Amino acid sequence: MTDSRRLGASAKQRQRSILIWSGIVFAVLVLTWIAERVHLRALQRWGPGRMEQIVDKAEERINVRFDAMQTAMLQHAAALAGDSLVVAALHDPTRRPELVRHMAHMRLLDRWSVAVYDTSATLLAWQGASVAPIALASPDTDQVRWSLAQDGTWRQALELWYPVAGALGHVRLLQLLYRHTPVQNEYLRDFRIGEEWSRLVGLPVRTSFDAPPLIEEGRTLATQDGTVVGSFVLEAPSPASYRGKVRQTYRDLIALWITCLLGLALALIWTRYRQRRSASWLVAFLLALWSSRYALLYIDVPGRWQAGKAPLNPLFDATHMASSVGGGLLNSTGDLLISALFLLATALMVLRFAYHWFREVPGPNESWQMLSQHAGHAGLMLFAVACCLGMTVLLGSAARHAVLDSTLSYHSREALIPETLVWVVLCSLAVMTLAVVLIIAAVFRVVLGARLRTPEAWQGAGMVIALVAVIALLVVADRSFALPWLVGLAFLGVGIAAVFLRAGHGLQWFTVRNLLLVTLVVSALLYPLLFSGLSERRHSRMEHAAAYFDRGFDPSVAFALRDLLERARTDTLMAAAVAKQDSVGLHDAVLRLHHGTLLASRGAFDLNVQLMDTNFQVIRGASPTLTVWAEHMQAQGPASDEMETEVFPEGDVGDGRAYIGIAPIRARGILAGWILARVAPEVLPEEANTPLLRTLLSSGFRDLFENLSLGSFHDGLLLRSIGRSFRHFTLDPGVAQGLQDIPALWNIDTYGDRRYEAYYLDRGQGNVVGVRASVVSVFDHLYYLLRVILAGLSVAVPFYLTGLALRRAAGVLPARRVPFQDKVLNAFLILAIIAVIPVGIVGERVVTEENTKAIQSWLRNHLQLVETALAAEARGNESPFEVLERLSLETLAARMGVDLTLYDSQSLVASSRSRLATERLTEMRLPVQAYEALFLDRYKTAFVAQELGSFRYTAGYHALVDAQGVPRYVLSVPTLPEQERIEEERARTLAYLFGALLALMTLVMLTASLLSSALARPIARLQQGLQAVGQGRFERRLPVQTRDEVGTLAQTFNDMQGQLAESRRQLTLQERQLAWREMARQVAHEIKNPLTPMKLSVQHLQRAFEARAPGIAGRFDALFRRITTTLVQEIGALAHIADEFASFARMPARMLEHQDLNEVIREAVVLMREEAPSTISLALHLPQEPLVVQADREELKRIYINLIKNALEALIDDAAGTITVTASRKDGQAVSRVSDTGRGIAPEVKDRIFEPSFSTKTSGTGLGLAIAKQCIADYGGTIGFRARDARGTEFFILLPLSG
Amino acid sequence: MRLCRAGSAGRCSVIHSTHLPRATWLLVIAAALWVPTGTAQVPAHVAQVDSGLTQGKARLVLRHAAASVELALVGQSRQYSPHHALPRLRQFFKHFPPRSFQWVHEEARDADWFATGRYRVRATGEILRIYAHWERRNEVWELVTVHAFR
Repeated sequence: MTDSRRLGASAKQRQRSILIWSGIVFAVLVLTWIAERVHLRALQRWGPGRMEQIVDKAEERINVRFDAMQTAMLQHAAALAGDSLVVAALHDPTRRPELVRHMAHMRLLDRWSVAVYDTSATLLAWQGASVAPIALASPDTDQVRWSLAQDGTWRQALELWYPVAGALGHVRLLQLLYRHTPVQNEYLRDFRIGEEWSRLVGLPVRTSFDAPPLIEEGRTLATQDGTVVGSFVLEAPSPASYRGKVRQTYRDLIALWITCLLGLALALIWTRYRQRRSASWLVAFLLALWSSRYALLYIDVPGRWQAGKAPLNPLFDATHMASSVGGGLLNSTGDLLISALFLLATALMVLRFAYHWFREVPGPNESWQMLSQHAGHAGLMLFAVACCLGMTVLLGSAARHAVLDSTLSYHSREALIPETLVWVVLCSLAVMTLAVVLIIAAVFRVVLGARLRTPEAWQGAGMVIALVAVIALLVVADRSFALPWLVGLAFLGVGIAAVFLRAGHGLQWFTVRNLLLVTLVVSALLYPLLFSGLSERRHSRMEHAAAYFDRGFDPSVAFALRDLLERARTDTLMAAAVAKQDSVGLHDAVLRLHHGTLLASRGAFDLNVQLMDTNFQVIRGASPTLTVWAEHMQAQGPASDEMETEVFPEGDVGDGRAYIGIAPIRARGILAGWILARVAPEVLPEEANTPLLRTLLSSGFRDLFENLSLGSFHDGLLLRSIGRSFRHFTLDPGVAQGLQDIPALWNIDTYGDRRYEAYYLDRGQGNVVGVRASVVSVFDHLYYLLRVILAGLSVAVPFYLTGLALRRAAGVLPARRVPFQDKVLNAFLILAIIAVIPVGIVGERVVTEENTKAIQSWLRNHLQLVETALAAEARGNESPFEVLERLSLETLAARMGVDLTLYDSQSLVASSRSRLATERLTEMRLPVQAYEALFLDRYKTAFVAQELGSFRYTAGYHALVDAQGVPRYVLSVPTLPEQERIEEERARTLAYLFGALLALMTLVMLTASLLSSALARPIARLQQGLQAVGQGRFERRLPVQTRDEVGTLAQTFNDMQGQLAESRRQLTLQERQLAWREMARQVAHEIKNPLTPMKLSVQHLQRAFEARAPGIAGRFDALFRRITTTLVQEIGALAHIADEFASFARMPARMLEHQDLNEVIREAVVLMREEAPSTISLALHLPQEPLVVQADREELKRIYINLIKNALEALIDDAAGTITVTASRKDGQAVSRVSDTGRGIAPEVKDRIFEPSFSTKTSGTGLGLAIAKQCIADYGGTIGFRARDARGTEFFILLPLSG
Repeated sequence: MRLCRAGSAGRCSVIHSTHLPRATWLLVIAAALWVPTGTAQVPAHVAQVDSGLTQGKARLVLRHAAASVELALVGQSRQYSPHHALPRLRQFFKHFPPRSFQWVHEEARDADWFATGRYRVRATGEILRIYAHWERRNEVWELVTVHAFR
């Protein structure tokens, strides 16, 4: 069976298995569909009881979870209460520091906090956040007690009091149940334990932690001692929604089977393609591939399996990145990645096909000639270039939309490696770039591989047309598709270079060196496309910010306020509370009211609410601003009963514009009071000058204003501004002049050493709005490029691992031969990596350490400055801490330009940003680590890592001590404006460090490449020289270009080669002489053979003449005798001459004819009988039938004569002997034998008997048997002998019978 | 259903459905003041969003979206490009398919148009509040904000 048939059979077998599997999967799919139908039908018959069962089961699970939570708390509290250190500290106050240190380093579960109190409710030690730490009082019982702790509406926690043995005190353990944050953004999120339970049971869970429970219809949440701490309600699924969920589960399964079927279909087409290797099957496969991709998008695979499930869910969430372009290929970050992998698969297929189709790879030397040839086909070139540019435009579009259609923070410089989703996008785009380069290479491979023939006369013109067309296409791509022509050209260049760079096995690209090179090239190609998107997004944001800033009063705020007031107006609970003037009820009503309003949804405004009775007397809420309004209304007198909701602008407040709204509250149609509300922008960017405060911005503001400065001008004068860059009070005259012609202007503004990209918008009537952002510096470019390179490297790792597996499977790993050049390169690469990794790690640590030190230094300096300021304020013998008792912290903070927090020994006393404390965004207790450092270790300043949501920062704590050196107060600076600058400095240094390391590595590799090439070149030449010598070519001499050992080696080689050439010449001469000599001997032998019979004949004639009757001898007789004697002498002389001049003779030409072997043998025997002495008997036994063989008659006869002659010579000394010559037929062969009864052949010479020049006789040439063997072998026969141990020898000849 | 439309002066009284007779009366007055032809027709931009929300068709909702659309769909408010807003809104419709939708309140100012509505989710019957804001730019009403919240 041939290979192709075998392969065909194997492919068919594979196809059969695929079809069988497809059938199985299809059957499973149908079964799943049937099961769905049956299950849904069964569900339709379910009554409400079944739903209750589901809810009951879920409630049971929640109770079990709640119980497990309590058990864990109980175990931990019990362990701590039993701790000997706790007991000792409670017994002996001097051991308290040990307990504090112990608890400062204690590890707690998430959302746990713990504290130890003595019997007088004095806090001894603590760890973690605390809920309601001020108002607590430890129970005086020695029983375990559960309760609920809460900080207003901000935090609620399950509280466990565990008595320490001997009633010495209590351990208080808290588990956070609920936390509300004033804003929701990427750092701050509300936490509800109900959401965790909801994920656990798969049903919506509403929780309420109040005792008695507020949700009356819900299940109570009771602790292990029976204390009710709250309740929860499980929202029973409606039958329809439950069916929907079940249906969804089945649909997910069906989607899985469909995915499998798509994979099998692709595998089937792939096997077909491998069998045929035709363009049509390639097209079919690619169509199937992309149809599968869109089918997956249609059925939302794999996104549907991830929905709501961590950690892959964000990958398929359209919130972060999604674009409607590309038919859904960029539907999410995960889809972008999958699309990139599909594109890569396409590129690899096309490339493989191109190289398979055109096996001959044109060398770089031919390239120009081939290009010139193909340039004649301007149309083909045009098509190829258009295809390639089209692909590049599509890639550029994908990169742009990945940036523009996303909410991801590409500009963040918090770390060199960005957030995960940005990382995935960068990796996906790197894969896509690689795919596009491969496709371009494939296209040009086809164009170059086509080897079209063009008349020479047209080549020049074609070349010109093609070049013009390429330039035109580049310009079109630049202008119409925003693809910079240089980038387009770079893609084309790299694609074409890839065609020529490819040599040998394609797997060679999977080496570390090549992947590094590819990564750098791909990153360099991708970066301009990516930056184009980043730049566009930045411009779009600046334009949007300018429009927003220009608006002033935002009518949507008024609308939202009106919406809130309308809800308040119709809220019955509020009406009841107002009517009863129930302050607490009103508070709850206001909070409930705000929840679920448009204002809450907008989330970026400060809301103040004041409730008033019918006479505008304040019932609840006493905002100074609103009180003014209330007084104003009181002054106006009673309002009309018909008055409705009103909203009106209050006036300028900072940048934003506040609105005031008022609405009547009616109870049963009668006016009960009024609600007055004020809405103002909550935190404005100009105030958010520290990273900590920026975390308090809602995400909308972060999107809009982050890192921007805005200014509003009227008639060239600055009216208001946000940010720091608009410090000049007049509009630049150049800008004003520019805006006379166009409504909007982009400009680069320079102030000192700072440069800004600015956007100015002319609003008419002398109003101009300006937006500024720092220009993108070289550092920024380097930073972002580094990110792209790192993303590319992370893509290269799986490629490398795949390559390892493929190379191993292909048998090229481990490599049988590794070129010297590669070894040198690898050595350099390893050296570079070994050098770079430690430098990188150490550098990163050093920079981080320095950064930490810098932050601490800034914090320390500021805290010391604050203390100095306090000292300066001191009167008489006042200590700085005493100054704080009369000086407001806000005043001090404003004077020093920092945020300040003040603690007494343990608790927060005041904060310059009261909001942080009231909204529980900062801890009410001094961190135990700070306490340990300041109070126990007596450090002056301490630094503690803190968290606000997921935002991490370092806070500085400074002890204000009394005359005895005992800390009386602790001042804290949570964070500084400089911290951001220091962080940026760190990012910048790291970027430069890693950039330098990368550049170093690239430089090392380039140097290594040149060096290895220089080192390997003479070795390669030496190898070629040795190969030439091995092949017998001595004319090649190595150039001696270096003065080192390699040069000496080349010189030595050349000398050795010269000596070898001379030896070879002499050897050849000798060989030739020997050859001639050998030939002469052979010729002489051949001449002598016919002379011998001639001589014998003449001697015979002579003897016959002598034997005639006596008496007739006369004169003739004498003459005859003399002549024959002379003849004999002459023949002898001829033989001698033949011997002497044998070198001039030639072997006779062989004439092959059908010969009867019997006759040939008979003639030889007849001739030799004359030679043989009378004592020797020469017997002949021949068969009757002829033995016809194909041979030269004379040559064959000479062989037998030779054998008989040898036999005679073997018997010559014997008195009597017998020579027997026989012939017979056996197995289609003629078998002839010449045997004698002579002395035989000595064993030691048996092996040499047929060797040329070997003879046991003194007069022989030793060629007779050698020539005989050669001749018999030429006739296809065999000659051999059998020596019979001094009883003679038998030579046999086997010849194939003819016919 | 539109119950109220305010005048260009920026004053608008919202009328709750329990006060239907007064609401009807005010509606008539407002319509008389506001619509010169005397016919209260639903403007095209509002109708389009209405159809889009009723049918769960994101493309219809965003047909006349601005270059930057603020979306807050049962979550944080963010600015989206129209190309991004489309899949984001589709995702919302996938998770909260509509059973019905109706406008509850509309309010127009010089260059702004606000509307709120009730959106009932098909599977759960849950009601979400919808808020939409359009701005008039170059004589075209562009959708700038859509919020959906509980």
